[in-house]
Amino acid sequence: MIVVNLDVMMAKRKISLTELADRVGLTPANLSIFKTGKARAVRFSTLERICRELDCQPSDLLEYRPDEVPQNV
Amino acid sequence: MKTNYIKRIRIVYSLYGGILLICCGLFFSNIISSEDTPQVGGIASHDSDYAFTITNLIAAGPLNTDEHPIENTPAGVKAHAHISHFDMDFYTRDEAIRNDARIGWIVALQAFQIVCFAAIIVLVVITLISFYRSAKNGHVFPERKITLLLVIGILLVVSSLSTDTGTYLERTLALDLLRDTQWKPEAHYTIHFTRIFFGLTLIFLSQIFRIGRELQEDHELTI
Repeated sequence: MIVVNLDVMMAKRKISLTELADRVGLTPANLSIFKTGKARAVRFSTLERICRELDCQPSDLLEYRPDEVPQNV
Repeated sequence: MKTNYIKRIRIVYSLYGGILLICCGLFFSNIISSEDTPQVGGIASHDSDYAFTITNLIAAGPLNTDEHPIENTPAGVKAHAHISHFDMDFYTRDEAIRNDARIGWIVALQAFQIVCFAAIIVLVVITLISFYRSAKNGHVFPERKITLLLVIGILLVVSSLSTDTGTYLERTLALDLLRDTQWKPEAHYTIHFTRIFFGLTLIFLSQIFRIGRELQEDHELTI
């Protein structure tokens, strides 16, 4: 399954969910769906904006863990 | 855009509600004006020998092939009648016939049909109100309403089959009693596909709506 580590990066950059959502152009609710791993899909454009604001790589946000049942499928 | 489709939903609902009201009015006025016809298992108070009535029997040969000339038609017009369906009242004091097991099953199936129809009407009203409210909030395919559609479809199929089974039992009962007469009815199990088709269509639509709901969810959960 794919694990989202957005909360880790947000803590490292010391930015709140609301502020990041505002900068990225998403609603806090949508960003929360992504942060909690409930999103079904992520657009490249959204991922790009998040990485730009957090100054990180996609691999910093997304991690693949084998042999775990995904919860959002 | 949201205002537009809410207006369209209101127009559709108003038209549908109007047609339903007219149909209900015609239906109930028909009940009020119809004669009190005893059905299978009913006992009329004016004749203690009356046992039951079986309606809408399908005539078999020679009834449905004999031609009955009609007299006093307009000049130059000839007409013949063919008997295709008939109703029949049965009178007997024979308890074995009055207590035939099939009569009990027929009455039970009729009661079951009434319950099904009442449930279908209630569920249709609930579904229509729920869909309207959900659509106003932008949720067209809520799971509970999809399940209601599925249940209505299943009830339509089941009630249709119970109607056909009750009709078949009536016909076999009539055939047994009229076996040695010239008024033999047909006694085949006939499936009336209209209601079954409508029920299957609702079941099919509920599954399509379920797929639509999942697609909508995928879209909402794509960031």
